[in-house]
Amino acid sequence: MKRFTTLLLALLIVLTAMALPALAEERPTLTMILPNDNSVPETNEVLTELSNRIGADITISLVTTEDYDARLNTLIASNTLPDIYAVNDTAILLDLRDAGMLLDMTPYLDEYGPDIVEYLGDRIEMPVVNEGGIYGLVSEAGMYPANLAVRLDWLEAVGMEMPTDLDSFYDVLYAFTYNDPDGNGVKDTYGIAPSMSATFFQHIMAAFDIPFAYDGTVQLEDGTVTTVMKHPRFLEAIEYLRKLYQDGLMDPDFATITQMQSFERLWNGQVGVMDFQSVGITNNWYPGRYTFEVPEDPGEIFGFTSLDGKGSRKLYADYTTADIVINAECEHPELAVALVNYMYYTEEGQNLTYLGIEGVHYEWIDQEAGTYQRLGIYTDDVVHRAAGAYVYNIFGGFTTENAETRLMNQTTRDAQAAEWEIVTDWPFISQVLEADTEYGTTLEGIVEECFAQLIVTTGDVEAEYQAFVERWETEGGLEFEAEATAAYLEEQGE
Amino acid sequence: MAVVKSERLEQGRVKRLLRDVRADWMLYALLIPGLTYFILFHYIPMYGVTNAFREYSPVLGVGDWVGLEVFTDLFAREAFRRALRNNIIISLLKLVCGFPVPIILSLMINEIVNRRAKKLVQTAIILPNFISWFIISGLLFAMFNVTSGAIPGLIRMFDPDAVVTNVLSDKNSIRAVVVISYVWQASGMGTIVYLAAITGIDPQLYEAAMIDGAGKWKQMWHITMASLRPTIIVLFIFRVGAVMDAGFDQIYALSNALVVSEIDIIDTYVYSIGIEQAKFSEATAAGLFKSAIGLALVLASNYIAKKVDPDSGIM
Repeated sequence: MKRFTTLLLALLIVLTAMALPALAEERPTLTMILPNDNSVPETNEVLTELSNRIGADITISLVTTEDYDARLNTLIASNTLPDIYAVNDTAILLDLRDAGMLLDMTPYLDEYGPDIVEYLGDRIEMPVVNEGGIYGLVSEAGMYPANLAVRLDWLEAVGMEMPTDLDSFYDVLYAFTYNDPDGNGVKDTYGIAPSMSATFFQHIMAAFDIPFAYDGTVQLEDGTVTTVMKHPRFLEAIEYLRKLYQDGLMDPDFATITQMQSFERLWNGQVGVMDFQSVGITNNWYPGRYTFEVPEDPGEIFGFTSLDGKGSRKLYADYTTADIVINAECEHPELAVALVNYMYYTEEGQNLTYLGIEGVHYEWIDQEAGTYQRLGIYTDDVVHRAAGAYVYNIFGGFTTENAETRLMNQTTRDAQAAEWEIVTDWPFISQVLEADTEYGTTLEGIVEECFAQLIVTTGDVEAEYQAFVERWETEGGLEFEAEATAAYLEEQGE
Repeated sequence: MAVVKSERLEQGRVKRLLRDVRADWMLYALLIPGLTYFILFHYIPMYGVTNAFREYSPVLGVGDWVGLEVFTDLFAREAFRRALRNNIIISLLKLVCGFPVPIILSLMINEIVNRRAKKLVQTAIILPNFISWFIISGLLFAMFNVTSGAIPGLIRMFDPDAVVTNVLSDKNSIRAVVVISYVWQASGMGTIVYLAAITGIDPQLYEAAMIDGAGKWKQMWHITMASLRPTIIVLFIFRVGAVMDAGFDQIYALSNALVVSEIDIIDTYVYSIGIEQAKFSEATAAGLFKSAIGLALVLASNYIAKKVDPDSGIM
């Protein structure tokens, strides 16, 4: 028995020794979480291809944009951060750096991130976190202001022209709601069907000179930089929205539906107007997402306009956050930098994560002209995304010219260019404000609540508005106002 | 002399305990998993309560002691005061409306003669307990949304000009939705304990009452209800202890910008400032405050229960 046990042990030792080299040959692993509202199988064709090209087993978890910060905070608290992630909260970002939890990418950039270095040049130091090292990268892509899209076939059906001011806009919404624009004989349409996302109200608010965002700021006549809620025309804008709501031109469920449900109403032909980035309406969703028959050229069914010639809120790159940081405890920092470099800063990587695998998911018609076609089952958006395309690189890369912009159709390009000409500017502050860090989320919540409540209230609008303003001021708003005003004046050199 | 006697008594007790443990070590060993669970997941995490009195950052770790400063800041916030107010209102509504329902349901189920029908009803009312609040929220939206909801559709069928509002986005109706949906979801599960208690009642009591001329109503009141009283008191004390738990899942799923002012509770507030904004000290302080109220309520209700009936109570 003893001899048998000894032999068995010896055999086990030999087998283990033989297995060791095999274990050593296993590929390194990289983990990543990204804010993204798409869902995709954990293993898919694009991720497998990406892993093969980088030479590491890559795991990417997608977390909805709304829940991303909460997930990140729990990962931090439980000390289970992945190798690569994004940080939206400036205070946390700086704490992570000060605690030595972020990798300084400097020693790896020349060798493993040459495209990052070449593209960004001196701008690599712009993110506030990059003090004393390169700890984070900020995407310069996705700067798409909202466009006011109107269904042209519906306009024709109700015999109206493209609206250009608030009055004609009301008339069009009325006709889209009550004049059966889809011709099915049933009252099943609305003028607009927004959710609570501020994007959906851009042009209406801009017509009242308000660059709208719940955390947005405006400068008052006396120079004070404050919340959009204190804009002198805020109540005027609310009255207009109240009229749309009360007259039934706006989906009455706007406060309870999600952004995705709002999109679905456009895709299903239930609304004729949407205030959102044209990149979605006439490019990324076109034609696959629409459940009704659409022409080949999106310009034949969607037109874009503005109200009183005023455009949506101007977008600025936010250098107080980081779209990519690397964990200081990452076992393979060189591979992490190489992955970020490949995925976000090279044309090949951008094409892979945006379009999928060439010859499998798509093929070029004319690569120079940016025309391509999806293959077989991948013409279906859902199947294409389930294979891992589009979802890991939602804006097509971190560079201003990227997979998405290179492939954008002319209708969308023109709409974006026209919108940039009329965007509504606002007092942008590039530095981090302490009051914003401390009270920002609470103040933003008050503005959102005020906006929704005032649209539907049957009470005294003025009194309710004053109560919200007072609450905003006492919950840290006055501190924010003082700090923001001083910071803005300082940045303007006054 | 008295001290020596007391020490001897103490030593005697310890010796007896050790002897018992040695004799029944296998039985005592069964305690280990349970004890380990409570120590690991209930007692050790209590150390985290100290974060309510210190500066804490999930990234930088624990900082200096700040006394009651976090509590002062917390109470200065209107959002917290609002959450506390809502929490008390919703909890009390749930207690008042929700507590008697399982008792009434149990009494009603007990009167069903057909065994198959009885089982069917029991299963049907228990099932909602296993549905997630997020699914229920989706069902409610499908029922009440103005555009394509079942209820507004039904109302419009009878009166095409009817003005229908979505009860899920109406400040005046949302608390009723919260309470009614809670009662619908939780009451069935609550009947299990009462039905078990009813099964244990001696049938001879009913027979004797019938001979004495007591009808169904009197039997139910004087026998069933009287026998259920200790169970009701114990469950009431438990319920009062958990009264500040107004239902995070439910409120989180049903909340939106139009009704948040009416249904934001301490748990959702703690989630918002703790998990979403990473203000862990404030979140801990809010949670600790809630637990302190819960403890005070348990002690008070236990005291009252014992005053009313010395055999009742849990301590």
